[in-house]
Amino acid sequence: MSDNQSYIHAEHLCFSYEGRDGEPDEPALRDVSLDIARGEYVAILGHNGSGKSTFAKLLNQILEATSGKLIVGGTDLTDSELTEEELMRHRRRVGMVFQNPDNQLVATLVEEDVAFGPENLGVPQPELRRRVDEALATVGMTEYAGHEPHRLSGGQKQRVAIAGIIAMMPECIVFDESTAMLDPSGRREVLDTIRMLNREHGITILNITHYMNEAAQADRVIVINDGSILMDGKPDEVFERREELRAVGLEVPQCAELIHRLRAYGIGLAGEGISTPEGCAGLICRALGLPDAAGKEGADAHGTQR
Amino acid sequence: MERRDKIVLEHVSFVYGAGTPFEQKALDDVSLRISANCITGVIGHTGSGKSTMMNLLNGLAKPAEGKVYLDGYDINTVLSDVLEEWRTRPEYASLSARAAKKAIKAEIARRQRELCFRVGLVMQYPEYQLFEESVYQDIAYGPKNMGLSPQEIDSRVREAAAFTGVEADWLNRSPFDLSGGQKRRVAIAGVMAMKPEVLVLDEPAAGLDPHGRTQLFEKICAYQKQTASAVIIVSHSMEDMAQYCDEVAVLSGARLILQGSREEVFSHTDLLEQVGLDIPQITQLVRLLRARGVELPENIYTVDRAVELLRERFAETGRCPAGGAK
Repeated sequence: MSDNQSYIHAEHLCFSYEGRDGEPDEPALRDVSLDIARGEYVAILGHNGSGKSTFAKLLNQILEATSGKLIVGGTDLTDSELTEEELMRHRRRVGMVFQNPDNQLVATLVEEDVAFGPENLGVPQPELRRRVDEALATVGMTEYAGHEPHRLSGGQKQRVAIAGIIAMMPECIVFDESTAMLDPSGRREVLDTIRMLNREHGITILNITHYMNEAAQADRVIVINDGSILMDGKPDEVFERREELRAVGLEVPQCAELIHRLRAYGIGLAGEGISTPEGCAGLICRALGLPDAAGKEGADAHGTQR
Repeated sequence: MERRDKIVLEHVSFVYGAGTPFEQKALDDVSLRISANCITGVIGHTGSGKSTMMNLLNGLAKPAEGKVYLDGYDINTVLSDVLEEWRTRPEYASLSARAAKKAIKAEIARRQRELCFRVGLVMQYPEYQLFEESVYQDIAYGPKNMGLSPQEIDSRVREAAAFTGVEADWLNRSPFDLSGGQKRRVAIAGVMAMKPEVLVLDEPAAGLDPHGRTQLFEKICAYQKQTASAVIIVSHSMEDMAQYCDEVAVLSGARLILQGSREEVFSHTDLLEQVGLDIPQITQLVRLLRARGVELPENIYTVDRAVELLRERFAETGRCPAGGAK
């Protein structure tokens, strides 16, 4: 049984795509069991074809599990008696943002695009107006309400796509490589938005990504390989396991790589913090016998130094 | 090795929708020199003009102003050059106006095609452009269009396949049965098989997982070394650029704001951040360490270099065991 805290509860979840001959292919997910609490921010890593996107698609029933149990927000998605109505209600609660911003925008004006989802849900005026305005304000796109989506930058388009989901008041949003096609500033815009939705609005976040730096921002990192969960822990814990990550085609962030290599030379760099530049700077300074508390001061000094 | 210009852009400007209300300057007075026999990285935010610039390199698009030289030849003078040459040819006078026009048109088309063979372009997400029945035929498409002999085509297909890690037993399979990363390699092999003097790759590793990225970039580096060609890579990943490129050009808002060796370019971290680009994570870490009093130079942009210098710092403090592992 799932405990009360768990928002997503998967138990021995399996999924196979249908092969060309109509027979099931090699399973894309094998015996996945996990619990994700309401309000958690989870990053999912795995090489191409590891099954991470398949898992995401099960969450809002774009795909149906072959076997096992999947309960999301109290709704048992693997219950064969799940009604169409329950399914619709569920999909409103779990939104998805995909990779290509151009494939997700449907209307000719930004505000119409954001209104598309809630309008289809039958949200009446003036509630609809209020939701659209709030969603655009949340992602910082209010001033673009009357703009044409195709004239926006990639990061802005993704933020509009996110607003369209927020307007449906979801409990959980799944980002499936949503920053892969964006430039660095676009990525930052989207990542800041994700973090804000999680911290300030309590929305449960699943971010599927190939960028290790992005994963380091999450509370928890799950590594999927060959359809099974290989690791599950805090970013610091996961990035300590460099060799295992490499073996499945992944890498650790550059700063973690540095720490691992210095350790290989026998330099004592024990402790937490390997997943972020700030944490690594702390590890190195402590080992060099430099004052560790320089954190804030150092950051200020940097501004005036040059 | 001596530096030689392969491509030179001189005061190049390009405008989309000229004369319409949507007129937009995509390139504004860009002057850039791209070296032969090295890897040049082009970075810039979305809409900075990178892709527009790539399309100018083989005459696919023509600049509104300025010149594009390939080995010193102005590639946008094909038309006038051909006309000029024909006027002086003895057979010109004997041909009917119609026949002459036809022959001149054919000659212009031939030379423009030749430019496309010399400067090979791999667009973003090239795997969507595969169309042949087999992987082999897809890679052979370019060399076939060049009018090469079947033997030559065959050897080029196999060579290009080896360069990108396309395995021999894929060659007879349909490209649509391959995974995304495999298709990407087939698409890149298709351009390499034309043996271009300049290979341009627009975001070649987009969407690949870390292992796939590393593998692809290493193969591109090996290709560059072996062919001694000029390779141009457009990418958003500063880490990859710092790792694999010899020279780097930075575009912002349609203008070229930096160009030079990667050492030079990555020493301007403030400017890179100002224009919305990232700096490599390792450079960020070095900056934090400097702020806390660790003696390090500012322009460290690869993990190798950071490891080397930090080992020295630890050795000085007697905190690094002599010799060490690895």
